[in-house]
Amino acid sequence: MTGGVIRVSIKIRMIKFILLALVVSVGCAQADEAKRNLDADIESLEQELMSLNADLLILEEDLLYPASSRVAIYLSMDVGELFRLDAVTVKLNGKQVSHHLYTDRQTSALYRGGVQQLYVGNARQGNNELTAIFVGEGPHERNYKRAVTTNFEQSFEPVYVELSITDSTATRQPEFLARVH
Amino acid sequence: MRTFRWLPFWLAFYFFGIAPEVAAASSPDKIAFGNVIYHHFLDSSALAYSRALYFEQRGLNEDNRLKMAITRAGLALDLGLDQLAQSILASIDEENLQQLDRRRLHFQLARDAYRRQDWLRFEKELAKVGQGSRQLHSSQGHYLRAELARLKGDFDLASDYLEKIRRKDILRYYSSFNLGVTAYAAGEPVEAKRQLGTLAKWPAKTLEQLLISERSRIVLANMEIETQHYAAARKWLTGITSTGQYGPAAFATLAHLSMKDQDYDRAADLWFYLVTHSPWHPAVTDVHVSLPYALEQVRGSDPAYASYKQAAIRLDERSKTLERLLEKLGNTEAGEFVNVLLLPVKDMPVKDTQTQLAWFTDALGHSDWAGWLASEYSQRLVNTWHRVSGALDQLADRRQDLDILLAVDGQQQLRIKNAADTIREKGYGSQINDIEVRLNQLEDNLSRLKHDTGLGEALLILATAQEIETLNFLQRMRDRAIRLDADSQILSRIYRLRGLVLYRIHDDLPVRVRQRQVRVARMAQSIAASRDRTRRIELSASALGKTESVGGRITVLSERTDRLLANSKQVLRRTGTALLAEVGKGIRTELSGIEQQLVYVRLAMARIGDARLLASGPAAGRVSP
Repeated sequence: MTGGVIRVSIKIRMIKFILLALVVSVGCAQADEAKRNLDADIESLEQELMSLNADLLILEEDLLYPASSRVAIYLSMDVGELFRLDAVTVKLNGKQVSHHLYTDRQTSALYRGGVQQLYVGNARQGNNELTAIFVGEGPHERNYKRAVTTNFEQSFEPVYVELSITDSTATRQPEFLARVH
Repeated sequence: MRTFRWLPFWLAFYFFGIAPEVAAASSPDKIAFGNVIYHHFLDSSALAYSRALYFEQRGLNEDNRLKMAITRAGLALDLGLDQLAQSILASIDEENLQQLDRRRLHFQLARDAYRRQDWLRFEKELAKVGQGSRQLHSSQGHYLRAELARLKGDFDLASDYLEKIRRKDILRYYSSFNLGVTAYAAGEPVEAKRQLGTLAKWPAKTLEQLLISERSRIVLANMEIETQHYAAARKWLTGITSTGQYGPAAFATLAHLSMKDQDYDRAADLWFYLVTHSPWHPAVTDVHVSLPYALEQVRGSDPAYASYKQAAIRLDERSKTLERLLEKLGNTEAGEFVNVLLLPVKDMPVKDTQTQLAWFTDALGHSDWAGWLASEYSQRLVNTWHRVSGALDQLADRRQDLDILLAVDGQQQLRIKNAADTIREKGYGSQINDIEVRLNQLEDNLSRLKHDTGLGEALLILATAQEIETLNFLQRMRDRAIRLDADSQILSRIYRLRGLVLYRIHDDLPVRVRQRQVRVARMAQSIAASRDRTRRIELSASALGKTESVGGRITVLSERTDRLLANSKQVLRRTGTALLAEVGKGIRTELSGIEQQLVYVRLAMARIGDARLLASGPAAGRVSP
């Protein structure tokens, strides 16, 4: 009789333990599921946010700078041993449209192959004149200021102007170029 | 003047294995790619990713579609968007890739496998990158290879690879720390001490570097304690910033070392400092018991009893505070609570380490919040909370941008409508048509003139004003001569002169026709441009209010932004609730610890009380046992 009671008691305890284990494991599984869902939701949110940013950028450009008058000016650097860039000023048809002072990180990003967007705006239909003035430190640690001017025709397509600073191995001087795409 | 000659060569493929041609962009597609990596180099991976999407939508990725896709996958990995990275990488057909792009792809796949801790796939992907590839010689490449060697237990090789990572690079810190800890666990204390010792001595420039460096000191101190080199352990611990994250742990270990040396005076000073400055830090849970114990050894039972009493009061108050907090937690809206808890940290300045540490502590008020949220899961929740909060801020900014754009678009729509009305009212369209008809006629006449030189009268069309005047004068002379019945010689002279003028025109005919054709062509161009303008205005006017118009797109984007805002708020609420649960769990754990300490303190007080009684002998009126 006593032995039977003990056995029943053990059985009840085991059932309780199994039930508890089940509850704990279901709880853990639910918590894991919740974590996974939360992570997925956040990833989806961030993804949508970046997509929204890109769409908004396009919308903003289409509205403020229609393709027929849009001009975007970019700056790239190659090598950069002969010139340390401090600032760039951009003038479009004689009017200053952009001025940028560079931090070490920004010049480093340019040296590493990055291309910076200096300006995006509108240009009048027909012929336009663009002047970029580069200020920095040239060979022999001398102050260096150079300008480059280019003309471009604004038709009904957007214009991309690439300003580039390269080292001329022949002259041991930096070269400043403007290409219209 | 700095020398950067070597930089474009190997830094250009940092992370992406970008070939040096990127440095000299020469087409809109290359400019686009360069602009994406420019933002990446400035640590703005989210902006870089958005720019990549922008350029793809603008069609500026035709020349390097696959390279841009691989880059996007790399950026997604940087941003912790693992699913997105995986789906981008999976969508790339390896068969269509050039050798260089294939290496880039496997490099990103290896990063993805590393993130997922899928070590088998990690090794396989890393092997596919190819030994000679530039990707493996970037900081990220050296880091991944060092990690693989570490996981395989080849510590020498791992050490060789990590030596190649730049000293300032945070990856070198992580790699070195991981190697040190793994070597120690594998029973190689020399290598462990070499790695961690180097880390501990490096000057930290950022908070992240400082934390790894100080964590190394803690590990080194524990290693020295295990081998009973207490002096060396002290040396490592005293270099830790007292106000930093590991400051209380360092002080507590130093205090324990002093107790071990039976230097209770010094131990009491250290415990007193901790009781005053960080009484509830999770690393110093025994401080309330240890201080009176140390005092008891140095100054006897009276000051110890007073100290135990103060500890009991402190613990009791703390217990009541925590119970109140628990009660408050149950009645608090999660978002509000987490806002109060974490909002100041969100705007924390990034650079200045010392300021950051002080600011962090001030913002939290006391370190117990950080202690309750110290588990890996709760840290993830905190990061999530920050990420979603950042997203919410960005979305609020975008909403403002959209409102501004909506206002600008409203003005533009008005202008377009007015322009379209003017075109209609003034009949510019039909005027342009008329002019075009006349221009076509002129063009026909000119080409007929060019080929049909026999038309004497037609030549008059091409005469200059002076020639027409001369011809008119000769005509008047002829009429007068006929009227006066003049001599026929006079008439023939007049005809000869007229013929001379006409012959001159005839001789110049090709030049005169060409000049006029050029003018007509110029006019035709001009009228075509005018037609284009009116068409564009009419087109814009007809698109007003439609979904594909700018206004329609703003509306769609506004709806998207609002939906995202609502989703973000919901996720933030869920994160807040989960954080709240973690805080509650932390409070309950601390409460049970405090209860145990209270029991210990009360027992100690009873022990000292009994000892005092025994020392003073049986009291009057009492019966001794």
